Amino acid sequence: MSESMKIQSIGDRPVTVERAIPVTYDLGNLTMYDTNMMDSQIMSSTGEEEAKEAYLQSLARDSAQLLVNQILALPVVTGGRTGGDVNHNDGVFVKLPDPTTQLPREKPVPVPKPLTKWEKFAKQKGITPKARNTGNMVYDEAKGEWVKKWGYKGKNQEEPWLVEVDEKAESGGTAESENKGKGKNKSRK
Amino acid sequence: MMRIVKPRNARSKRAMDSRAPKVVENTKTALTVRGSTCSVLVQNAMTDIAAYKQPDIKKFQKKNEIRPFEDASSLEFFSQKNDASLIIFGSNSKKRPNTLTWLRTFNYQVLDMFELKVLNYKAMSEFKKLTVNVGMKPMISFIGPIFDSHPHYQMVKSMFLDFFRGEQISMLDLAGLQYIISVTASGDGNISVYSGDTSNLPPINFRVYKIKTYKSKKQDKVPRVELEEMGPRLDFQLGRVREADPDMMKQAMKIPKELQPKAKKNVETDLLGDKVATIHVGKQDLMKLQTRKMKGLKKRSKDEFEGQGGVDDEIEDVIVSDEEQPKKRKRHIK
Repeated sequence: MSESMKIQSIGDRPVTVERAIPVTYDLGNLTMYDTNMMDSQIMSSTGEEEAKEAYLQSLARDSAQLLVNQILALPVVTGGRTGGDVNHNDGVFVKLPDPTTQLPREKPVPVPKPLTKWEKFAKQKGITPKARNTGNMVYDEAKGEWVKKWGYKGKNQEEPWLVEVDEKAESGGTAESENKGKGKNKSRK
Repeated sequence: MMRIVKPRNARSKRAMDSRAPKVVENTKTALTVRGSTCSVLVQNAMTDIAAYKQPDIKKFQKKNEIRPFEDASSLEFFSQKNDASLIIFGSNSKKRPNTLTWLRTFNYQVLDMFELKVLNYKAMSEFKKLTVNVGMKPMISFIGPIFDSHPHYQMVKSMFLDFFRGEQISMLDLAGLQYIISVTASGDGNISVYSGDTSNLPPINFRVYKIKTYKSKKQDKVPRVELEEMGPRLDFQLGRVREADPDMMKQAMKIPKELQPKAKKNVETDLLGDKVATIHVGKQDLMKLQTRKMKGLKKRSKDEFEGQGGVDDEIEDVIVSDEEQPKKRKRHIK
């Protein structure tokens, strides 16, 4: 079979897998557990390596298909990974759930360090650290991004988006800016 | 045995902090250690397995005279020095040919371990060269009822999962689904643990395949998955097992308070599936309720009501009757 014909025929193959006992998944670990009985005849036959390998491969393919189906059902997040990883800013990402299988830790749960003398005193007196300056950036809800509070292109310098109609200006009078600095209509006595 | 090192600069302090117990732990690092009798086959098998653990694995080159089941103290020392909690120890003897001892440590002490004798081995180099990028997360599948029923096989499952799962990630790039590690064991799982007869235990088949997806004509969104074996191909026979001390295991399985899911108080889901919460408003003294400032409570003429519908009328009446009677105020109706 030529390559293109082979690819065509692969497209006809089913994408669903039937299993007698439903399979359990741990998508946080990209793992699946299949407790269905295997074909003991194929597995225990000593001479037929190829048949056994083909069987194992078919089982593995079914597992992979089931896993892929489950993973594709997860909510999709497009855009960058929120880790500042520059190289992965495009691509389709899938939000994995937390792993369900509990595995033993490698180190014990950390014990909270005993409070120092000052910390104990501060806690007892109710002394909290001074409110530090939160920096220049502030989140602008309307724009949906962070803008500077002050400085070049700072938020405090932006023009008001709504200005009341000034009757004098509307009726064709000269703009206020034009008159600035000019000593117009000033009569000297 | 290890002296406590006081950090002299920020870099050493960071290194120390990285090794200290943490709420969310680092990915477990592994070590491959060669026994004094380690054969070439075992060495190659360990190298091939290590390829799927990169970069979180260190391979030791020198041979060490160690008998893990008798005295694992030097392995514990290696674990502490290298901050590695998973160790594969390779050995070969007449009684136990081509054996890999897999062990886990907790707090740098042996938690549990088991022996896997290599029955068949086909190296990665013997397969068509298919590589995966270092650090890719594998898909793992455990097939066979025995992995759920037999405690030793459950230990093997847990160890393999710990070893191969890689870094914990919350967002997965779909292009990162490159390979699958398939661990199978046939047998009905009704094998008694206490029979002591290890020859009856079914062998564990370890296979790794590269994944290729094809567009399916049957379903648009789901691709057809096809596999190609990329090795290594290993068949293991389970040998001696040293189960974890129950107290140590209990310590190891503890979840820190920060990670335990917090039950949200006050919020419930009703029968229709809607999220319902109770807002606790303080008790209101209806006698002292300020109604003069509520425009909605003003009595309005009938003409205004015409368009609004009957329900409003009734409510209007109820409110008005409650409030107006005790107050007996003359309202100027606009």
